[in-house]
Amino acid sequence: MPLSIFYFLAVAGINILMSWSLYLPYRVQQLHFMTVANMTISGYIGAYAALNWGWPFAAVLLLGVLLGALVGFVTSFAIGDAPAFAVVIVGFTFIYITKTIVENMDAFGGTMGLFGIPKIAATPGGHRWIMFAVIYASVIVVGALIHRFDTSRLGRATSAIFVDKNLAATFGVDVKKMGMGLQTAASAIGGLCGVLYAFTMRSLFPEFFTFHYIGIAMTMLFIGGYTTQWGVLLSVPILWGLPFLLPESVQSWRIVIYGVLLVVILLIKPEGIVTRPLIRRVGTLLGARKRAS
Amino acid sequence: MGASNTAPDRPILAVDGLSVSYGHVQALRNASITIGSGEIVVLLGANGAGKTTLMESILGIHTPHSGSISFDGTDITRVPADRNVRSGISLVPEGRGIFSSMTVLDNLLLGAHHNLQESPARLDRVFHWFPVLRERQQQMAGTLSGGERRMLAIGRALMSRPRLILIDEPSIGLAPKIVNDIFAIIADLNAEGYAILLSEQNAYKALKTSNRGYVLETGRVVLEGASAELLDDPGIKAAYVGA
Ligand SMILES: Nc1ncnc2c1ncn2[C@@H]1O[C@H](COP(=O)(O)OP(=O)(O)OP(=O)(O)O)[C@@H](O)[C@H]1O
Ligand SMILES: [Mg+2]
Repeated sequence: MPLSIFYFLAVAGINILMSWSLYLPYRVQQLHFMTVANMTISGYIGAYAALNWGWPFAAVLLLGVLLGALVGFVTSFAIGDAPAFAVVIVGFTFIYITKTIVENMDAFGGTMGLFGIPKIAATPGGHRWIMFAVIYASVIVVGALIHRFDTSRLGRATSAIFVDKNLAATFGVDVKKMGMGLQTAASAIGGLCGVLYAFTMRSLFPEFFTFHYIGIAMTMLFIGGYTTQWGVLLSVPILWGLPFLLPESVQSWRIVIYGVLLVVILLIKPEGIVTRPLIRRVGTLLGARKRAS
Repeated sequence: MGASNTAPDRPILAVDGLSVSYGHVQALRNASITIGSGEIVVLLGANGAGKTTLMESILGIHTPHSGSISFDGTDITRVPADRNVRSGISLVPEGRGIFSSMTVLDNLLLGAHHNLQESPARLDRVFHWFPVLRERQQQMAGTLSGGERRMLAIGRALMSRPRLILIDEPSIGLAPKIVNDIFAIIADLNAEGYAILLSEQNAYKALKTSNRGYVLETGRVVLEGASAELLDDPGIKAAYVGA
């Protein structure tokens, strides 16, 4: 697999996962940007464990997920049912603090970055194929889990919380527990992505994990559509791929292009491209074809 | 209706000296009510009297700063709503009540959040009460008429297999014919064994349907008695029944 294709596909997969990490807490109207900080924390600590303690990739991956879940769970005691703006501010604060800590720690390479994260196969080609497989296996597993959640009684309850959390509480939905569960899951995905990103790039730079990455993941979620998990599968390849097809000089305008697209979508199709009625129509269409054949 | 002036011997719900505040606004002051297992009890009161606050406090949405609540002999004073729903209290909220962008079926299943395994049997019961909901189950709840929405909200409250149903202003905003239907259903539900607490501003129909009533004014219970007697009370007549 050529390096450019590998980077494109690997980062697209990670972007899908990160957009899902924002999708989950947004089911109860929370913008949980902390997942970007979870990416930093798990990515750096995972890379450190691989570099200095010789941990194997599988162990690092597990560590990254558990660390993400732990950080998400502990903070969710404070912000599980907090108003949306409070969750946003806590997320920003975490991103800022983790970035500052990383930049000031020699063990993590400081502002220079952390290099030489080991390959997980003997050859560079093998490394790419394994990473590609692990990333897309993660997309499938996480996607399947989210689908199960969305179609369960808990998914139905989160949709109720999204519309009116006081009303949802009247039939015995525990709004705080639901927020805590979703934040923990989202942070675990953030942790997973941190390790996947570290081993994809084999180097880490603190400036990657900032507000600009929030912008990317959020754009993909809101353009794809935040009411179903499927929108990002459409928006990520397009939004992530499009700038590569444009001339080099335009590529540095990526964030501006995203910003303009986001505003346009929010104006003309506030729920994003893929909506629940659309999914229902596609479902009926597929069902009809199956019955016909 | 065999109503008696005195409180029931074995109440399913007993609220004793309850006080609840929203910040500096004291919404309930030392309010006490009881509901017997087979009773329909009505709460009367003008806007802001504290009817909704009392119902939501019974369910466990608000935390009282003094007083106590017991349900079926067990103290539930600071028990959260999810546990009270499980143990058999359900609320039909006033006005808003339903999720317009969800199907009728999803709205009903939300009511069975804690006992989904029983939901097929519960759905059958609800569809027996409200046949129109069976026909409309795949429709978005927002497409229902006002009366159908109120039925959906009551149906959803039945999904959790309650023993006590709190219904907040069931008649508000409905045409008189529909109001009659709703009250007939409430009476039927009660005949089937559900204890019911209603709140109303339009007292006539509610007093006709219920066993006993309480009048709330600025968070206090100022009058209580058998519904038949309250209906004859000149003060009530003037304030709530209209000419
Ligand atoms: N969330 C809240 N925050 C502050 N004050 C509130 C809140 N909810 C209710 N109140 C106040 O508490 C008092 C009782 O309100 P409540 O809604 O219980 O009355 P109600 O009898 O149900 O009135 P209505 O007939 O208009 O529904 C009112 O003075 C109201 O303004
Ligand atoms: Mg009210």
